[in-house]
Amino acid sequence: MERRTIAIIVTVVVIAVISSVAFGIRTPQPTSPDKITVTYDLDGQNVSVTIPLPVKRVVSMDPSNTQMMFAIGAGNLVVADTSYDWWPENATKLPKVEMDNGTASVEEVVAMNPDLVLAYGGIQPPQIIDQLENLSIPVLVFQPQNIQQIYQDMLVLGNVTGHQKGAVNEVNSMKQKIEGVEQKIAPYPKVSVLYMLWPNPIYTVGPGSFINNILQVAGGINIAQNLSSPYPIISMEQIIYDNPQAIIVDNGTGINNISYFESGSQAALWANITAVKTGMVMVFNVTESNWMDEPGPLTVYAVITVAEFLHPQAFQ
Amino acid sequence: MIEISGLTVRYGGKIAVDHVDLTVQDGEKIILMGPNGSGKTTILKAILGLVPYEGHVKIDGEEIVKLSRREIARRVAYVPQIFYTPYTFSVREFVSMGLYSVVRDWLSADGVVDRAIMRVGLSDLREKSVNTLSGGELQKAVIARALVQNSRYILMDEPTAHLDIGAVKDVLDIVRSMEDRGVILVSHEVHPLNRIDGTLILLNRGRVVYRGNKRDPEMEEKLRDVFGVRVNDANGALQFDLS
Amino acid sequence: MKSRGYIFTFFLVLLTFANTVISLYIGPVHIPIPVILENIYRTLIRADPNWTVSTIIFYVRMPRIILAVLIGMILAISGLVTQTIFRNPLGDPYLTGVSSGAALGAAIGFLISPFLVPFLAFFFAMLAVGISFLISRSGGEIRAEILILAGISVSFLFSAVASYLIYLKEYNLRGVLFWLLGGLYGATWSEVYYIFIAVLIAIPVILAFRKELDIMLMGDEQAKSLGVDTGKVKTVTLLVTSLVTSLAVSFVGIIGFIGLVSPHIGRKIVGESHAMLAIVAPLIGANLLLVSDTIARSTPQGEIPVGIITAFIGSPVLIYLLFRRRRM
Repeated sequence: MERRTIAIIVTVVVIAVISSVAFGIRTPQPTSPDKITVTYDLDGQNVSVTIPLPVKRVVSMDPSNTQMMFAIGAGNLVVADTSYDWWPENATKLPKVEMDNGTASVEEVVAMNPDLVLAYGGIQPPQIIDQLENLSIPVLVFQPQNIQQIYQDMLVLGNVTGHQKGAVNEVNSMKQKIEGVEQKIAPYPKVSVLYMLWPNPIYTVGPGSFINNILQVAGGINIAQNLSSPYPIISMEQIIYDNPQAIIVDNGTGINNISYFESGSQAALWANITAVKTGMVMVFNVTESNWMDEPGPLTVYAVITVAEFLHPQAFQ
Repeated sequence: MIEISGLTVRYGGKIAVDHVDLTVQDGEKIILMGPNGSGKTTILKAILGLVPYEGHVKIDGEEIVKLSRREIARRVAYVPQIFYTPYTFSVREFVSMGLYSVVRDWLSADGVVDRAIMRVGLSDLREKSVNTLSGGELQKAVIARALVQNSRYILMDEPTAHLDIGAVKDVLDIVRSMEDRGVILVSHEVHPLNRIDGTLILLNRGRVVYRGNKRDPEMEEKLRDVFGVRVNDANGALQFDLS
Repeated sequence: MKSRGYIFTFFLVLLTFANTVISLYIGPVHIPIPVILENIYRTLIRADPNWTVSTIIFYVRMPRIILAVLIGMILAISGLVTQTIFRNPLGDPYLTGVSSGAALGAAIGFLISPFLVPFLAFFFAMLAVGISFLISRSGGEIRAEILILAGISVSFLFSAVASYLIYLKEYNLRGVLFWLLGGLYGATWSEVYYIFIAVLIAIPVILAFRKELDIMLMGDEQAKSLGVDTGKVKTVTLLVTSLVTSLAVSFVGIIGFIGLVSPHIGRKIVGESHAMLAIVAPLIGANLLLVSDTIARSTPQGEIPVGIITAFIGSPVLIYLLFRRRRM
């Protein structure tokens, strides 16, 4: 082989070796005496995360996580959250760590020097989670599929932050309120309901979405509960066929009230649907929508709101 | 009559045609020769109004800039060099395209088309697809299309290039038979000069360097100057001599 | 060739009818044929038909099926025109910048209010086309080579802005994505009405220029020498098809392959004559889109964007065509 070829091969090999070594080097693990390993359900799988103690600085990348932290009494540990955070009042005053489109910037997170980062499944790109873990920053990813899992997640947080009592209290308080609602509506028949996330095409919630669970607990039968994904598109045909007794429209779709279903070209499609005929159409305002979309302590209010809408007689 | 005076055409700074004067009378045959890049094709395009020019181009007394496309097409027809035709139009459909500028009543036009096809000797191939024609057949079809335009003048660009000698003879015979039409025939070969009784205009670098219709030593000398190749006269037929 | 063309056209018309009828039966909700027939009968004699079945048949499926047929026609005739005028076998209805203009309009619409999307999509589509046309006018005539490049450049610019807007408000991502991939969900009779008028204008206009378009296949120079006012033909035909395509896109998003592939299939069977193609290509497009949409709205997973189906159907056809060319 001529010398030039050998030189090229050697250079390539050297570069390859150097890069793999560089990528392989990770920041050294900080030694700490105490650790805790938590196991919980994430999107149908059991995950285990080991977190060095004590946890003093927490960065929350999702409003639902922030709310849980404050609800269990660990709000003072949160050092940064997102611009979507609106509850409680103190949470809105914290420093923010994300860019406008909702994805966190790893640098900003690292700059807050966190002991723990809280994320929501499916919202942040997995690369960011991976990067944080590579830097030895523990990340807890929550994605509750029903109210039971919300309780579970709060208990996990209680364990990790040393606020077990606060977590148990909050969970019990939620259970109490929700059971109260369930008792009130028990004598009444369940109401079939369509939850509209988006009108065109019609996105709704299906099995695996905690919103679906909220509808169930509040005494509703989600007409999309047998579809195949948590946030599926439902065909107009199926809606006509299933003829829901109630319709709930999420905030931010551009629909403001029932007149959307009664006017123009939509009228022909919706006019004979029971919900429209009887005026059982509710459009969430921003707050109600947040209660519904952010699984956490405020989910209770979502349950109450939906139950009151579906079964007004139970709350007279 | 086609009258061209002071025709100048520029292509991006370079002068392709340099103050050329030219006239074609009814029925006159002009053979325009010159090496590649001498401006022959450009002159044809100027007459057809396909390129911007300076100077005057008049057909039957009217400047072509004042005429519409249809009006120009009614006066002068174009026979381009044969080109890539991957189309399934039949010869008849292809030749009928020449009727676009001429006639509104397509039904009575069939006779015209058939006669033109017969004149160029393609009657047997009337329904054949143009993408199946040989080079010579395609050239004849294009000529037929030009004939159908019924224009007083026909401009032909290298009609004998890429053809076998039998086809060359056929094509030149067709041109000879066009007694009533004025023709400008562009060529870089010497066949047309031998077969057609017309005026030779020699171009070099955009300028006319010779004009004449006698096949005499002066013409041979000018040809040699321009093409850089010896010209022989063998029994009244000119030949380029590469030996 | 001519008689073959007439037979084929007749066959296509029959096929379109058959397709329409069959599609009426297919959908996420299973309605048996006897029930459909009974319902139609009762509607005709005004005898109180079952409203569930009627609404589904007359207000959900029928307008959508007819819309698919009409939009297929528009896309096909636009594709045909761009392929001829640009002498480019890969010409599609969006060559002049329609798709990215519409995408930008849609992105802006989704930011402000979803109801504005059709209007903004149409406006920005025409804006993109207008800019492309302006750039490529030289000496009072549109130069095809420049128009392609202008269309591409304008597309890049508009796409970039659209992408940025989409990125900004990722919350609306689902809506935008579905729109971009094309979909006939939410088809209403009023949309059918507008598109029907568009087809009624577009196809006769193209037919009116059938001879000119045939001649323009030979190239601008020869067409002009034969007396064709190529500038006028290009302007009128491209403008009309851009307009109707923009309208179509504003309703159903960007559906690919139909406009590209239908003219080619047509050519294989009836040749290049635009007199035939202006009828045959739209019929082929109608059937292709109708079949694609029927599949798109009836998959077991629920509805998927029709653009995905048309790509699945269109790519093999395209690849086949490219292979044929290679051997030429």
